[in-house]
Amino acid sequence: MDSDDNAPFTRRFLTACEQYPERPALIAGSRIYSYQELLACVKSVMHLVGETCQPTMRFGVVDQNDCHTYATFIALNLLGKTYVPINPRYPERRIAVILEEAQIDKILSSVDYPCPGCQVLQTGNVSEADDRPIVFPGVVSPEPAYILFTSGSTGKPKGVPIFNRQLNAFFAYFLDKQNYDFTPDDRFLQVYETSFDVSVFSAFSPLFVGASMYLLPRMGFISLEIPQLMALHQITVVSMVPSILHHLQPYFNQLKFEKLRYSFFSGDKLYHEIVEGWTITCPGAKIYNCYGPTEATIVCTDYLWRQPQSKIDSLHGVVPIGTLFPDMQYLLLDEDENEVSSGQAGEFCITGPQVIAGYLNHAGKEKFFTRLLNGKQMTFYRTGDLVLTNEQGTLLYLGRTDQQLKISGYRVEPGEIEFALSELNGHKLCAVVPVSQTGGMISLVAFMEGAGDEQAMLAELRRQLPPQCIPKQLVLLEKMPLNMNGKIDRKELLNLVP
Amino acid sequence: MNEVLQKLNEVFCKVFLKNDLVIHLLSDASNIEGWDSLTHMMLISETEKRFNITFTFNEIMAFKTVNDMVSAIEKHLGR
Repeated sequence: MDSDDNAPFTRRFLTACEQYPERPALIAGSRIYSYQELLACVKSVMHLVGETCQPTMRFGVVDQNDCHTYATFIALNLLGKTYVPINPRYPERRIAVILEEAQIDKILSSVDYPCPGCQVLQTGNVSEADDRPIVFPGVVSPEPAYILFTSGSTGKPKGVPIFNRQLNAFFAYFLDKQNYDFTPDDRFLQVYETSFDVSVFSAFSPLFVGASMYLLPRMGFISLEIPQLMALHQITVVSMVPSILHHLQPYFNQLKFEKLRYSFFSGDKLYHEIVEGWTITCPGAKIYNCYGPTEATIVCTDYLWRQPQSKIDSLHGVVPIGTLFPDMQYLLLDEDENEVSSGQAGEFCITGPQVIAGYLNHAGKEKFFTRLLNGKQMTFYRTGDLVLTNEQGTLLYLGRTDQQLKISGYRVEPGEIEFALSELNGHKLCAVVPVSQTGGMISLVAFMEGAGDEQAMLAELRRQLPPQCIPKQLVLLEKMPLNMNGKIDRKELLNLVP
Repeated sequence: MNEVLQKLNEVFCKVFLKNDLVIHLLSDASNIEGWDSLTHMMLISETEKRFNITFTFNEIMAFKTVNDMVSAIEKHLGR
């Protein structure tokens, strides 16, 4: 591997600063930061970190959805340090587990952020006119660029360490290989919380090409804020989870995004019919469906939606996930770990420069395996997704091999919620099932054997788990229904949903 | 409680899966647990079904409180 492969992925931002110092880089509400101003923020954070905690390698960064949050990510990356985005919407206990797992005792936040047991450094007070030179570390850092945490079925979130080499491979595909023609005139809308890895694409793609990144406010209702800001700022590039389209579908004929050039989707099944409706709102846009687990760095497949081919390509109305990026490879395996025959579905196992070698602290080892491929031992990640290929070699997504769910694009393991619930009620039997709601949306209903105060238990869950993991209702049962094998009968539970 | 508010209360109970939920004209996302982007769109969809009306996008953009919803419903019902 070229030593440059693991160079800080945000070096591209410095190049954009040299080329476009006066252009708008980041827009938060009415405040516009030029590349020059954003760079000054980055330098100030670098100096703050360098002066106060030079030996520390890992930092929590509280996502305050502002200029300083992104400046801090860039600063830490350029210094060869690791950042862990902290979502302030998450309950204290969840954040405490993340900090413990990542062994973090220093947090950077643009505004005051109480965090017991941690030193919190405020970045909001740093000078925005810092013209001191940047001092880069002399050697390429072997540390991850960032660590994200995903829902874990064992009740503990799993840390996914993403290294610069994986991010450099990702951005090489999106920015260098001319698959996409992003320009400094583009206006990207960044709708994601930074604990969700697609945010790395939405935030850094514009900052690497001299374009502008518009931050979506976190007040209001996101599904309504997105179209409003898209129209207001004449957004040209947007990435969203498909559920946003379900919310907006009744209003497609009232929405118009004439300037939209690229509309990306990822994080869940994308339905052909709904995309057909979406095209009315953005007739000039190329629509891409992307796929990728956090473990394979943001996304690793793409599919250009187009008529009439996409209708033919779609399976059960679901738009294909397309093809793997050129440097990546995959296997489709059956339950016995053998490759399936052509045209048959199998578990999607992927390898390549974007795939991590393992989780933080050696968790979830069973999700990875090595296999000889073209004479080289490669580490594969088992995605848990069931996939097949059509005659053209296009990948079609069928569903999960386990119970993992996607809610608003976030991975949710019912097992994690069940674990937390059982802890509240003396390890009695409990189960969490997904219930379809209006417009294809999913909500969770929890069932538990025994007695207790449902509302108090839900309140306790809110203190432990992120919002997407909180069941809409908790139903107490005298006896949990079991199937012939003595396992919880989840089908029967669906009949018991109030 | 007027008739529209009462029917709207039933919609809220259905969407939030809470039979004892009581809404007021000044109720908003800050004082109703779980009123987020997803439930907001579900509320709109269920409200349209319950009152047999269709809101415009501009109308739903202006919904900040229960009172805003009640006013829009009454306008559609010609009250």
